This record gives sequence, structure tokens and C-alpha cells, in this order.
Amino acid sequence: MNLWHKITAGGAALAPSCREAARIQSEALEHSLSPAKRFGLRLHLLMCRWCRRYGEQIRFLHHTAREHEIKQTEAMPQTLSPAARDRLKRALNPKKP
Amino acid sequence: MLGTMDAENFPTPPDAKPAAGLSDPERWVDEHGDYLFKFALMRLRDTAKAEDAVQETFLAALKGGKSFAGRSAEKSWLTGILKNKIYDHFRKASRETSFTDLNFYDDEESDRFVADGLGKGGWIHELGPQAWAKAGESLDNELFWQTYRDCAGKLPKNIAAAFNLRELDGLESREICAVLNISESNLWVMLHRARMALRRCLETNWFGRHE
Repeated sequence: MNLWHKITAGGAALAPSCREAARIQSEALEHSLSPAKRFGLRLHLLMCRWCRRYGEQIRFLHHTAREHEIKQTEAMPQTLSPAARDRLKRALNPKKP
Repeated sequence: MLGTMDAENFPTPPDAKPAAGLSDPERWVDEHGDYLFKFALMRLRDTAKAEDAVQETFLAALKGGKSFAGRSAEKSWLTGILKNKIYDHFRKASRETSFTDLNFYDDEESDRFVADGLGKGGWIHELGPQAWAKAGESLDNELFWQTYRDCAGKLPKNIAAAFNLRELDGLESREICAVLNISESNLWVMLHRARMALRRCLETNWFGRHE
């Protein structure tokens, strides 16, 4: 990698566009960012209300989905059909007629 | 040797007792059947597969032979076994077809970003993320979660599998990659696009209407 490539590669991390910032904010939920990426993102967010909002919203969804997982499951309208219920009971107690 | 792999791999809660009260495992079907079915259906998105997973869970639990002081301890024990059954299902499926999906949402909302020129890649302002009024209050509203489920339900099968392992079960990237047999960088792309699509769907169908 020559010097020019190093500078431009650094440039993308140091000055991400909104489109890139969206991807980086999702990536930040998966692992810790490299210092250059973190710095670039911070700088971008300082200036960009849209991306601050975007990040808040995906983090909101990320955290609340898990916290409400049981509630979400219970609220599902689908239930076992009577036939499936019977099948399960028979599987658990094969001796039963 | 006691019990099955599944029952042993899942840590026994402290209030587990020897299998004395195991007289009526059919009771499980009435007490936990619907919950476990919903849990499996949300992740497998197929009624027959969800029913199978629940049945396998009960059978493994029967062999594991534990009984619990409380219903909720029993429920979380069964849920733990079911979770492993579901991961087994994904592991098996990943050997037959790839879970990688880099086509979904591959334009990454390009209609909302400036296409070229000085502001290239920036949000087109009136199309950028809108403020979500009273987002916290939505969490107690069942209709919000219905909308959330509808939006998440629109994700394609493979994307949804990865997304649910991450956002519902809270697995780490590495664990998800092992279950689905996909690369970490592909997983991140998939999660990023799933979040984008879900965010936009909720903005359109929930937050946009409840100013």
C-alpha cells in the first residue's frame, strides 16, 4: 500500500459520508471501532443532526427489542392448534390410548 | 450418565430437584406449549417446523428428567432447551443452503442520499431520519410491538434469522457466524441493512402517524 492509498483510506474513515456513518454506527453495535473510525464518526456526528438521530434510533431498537423479547413473544396471536396439542401429548405419553 | 445432551448443556437452575414431580409431563403442553410454540414460530417462521421444535424440546426435557419448584423456572429451562433446538435447526440448514444474503436492501436507501457532487452520500434533508416523538412511551403500547413484528416479518428469511439471533437472543457476532456458517463481514452488512429497513418501516408505519 503506497502513501497515497494510506491517506485516502484514512480519509474515508476520518471523514465518512452520512451513508458510511450509518453503516459505521451499526458496526459499532457489533465490535469496538478502530480509533480512526471512531474519531471520524464522532466528528461527523458533532456536525450532523440526521446521523445523530439515525444512531439513536437504531440503538433504541437494538436495546428495546431484547428487553421486550418475552412480551413480544407472548403477544403473538398464533397458538398451538388442537391437533398439534394432541400430537404433543401423545408424544409425551405414548402409552395413553 | 443422566439425561440428554441438551438437558445437560443447559445449566440447571438452582431450584431444580430430582425428578419426583414428573408424573404429568402432559401438563407442560397446557402450561408452556403456546409460549414455546410462539417462541419457535417467531424464529423459524414455519408452523410445522415450530411444532417439531417444541416436540423435540419436550422429549429432551423428559429425558433430562428434572422438575422445578416454580412454573417460571420450568419455563426458562424449557425455553433454553428449545433455543438450542432452534440453533441446531439453523446449523443443519446452513449446511444445505447458504444463509448469506447480500441482495436484500443492497441499494441501502440510495434514494435518501445525495447521489453525487459536493454532498455525495449525505442525507437528502427532508428524507432523512425524522424525530421519533415519545419513542419511550411506544414501548408499553401493544400496537407498537405489533407494528414492530410486522416490519421484522417483512425481512427476508436469512436476514431475519441473523437479525433475530442478534436482536432477540443477543448472541455475539462470532456465535451467530458459527450457527449460520457465514462470515463476520457479511453478517455486519446484513445486520446493517436489516436495521435500516426496520427503522424506515417503523418510521413510516408507526412514528410517522403518532406525532
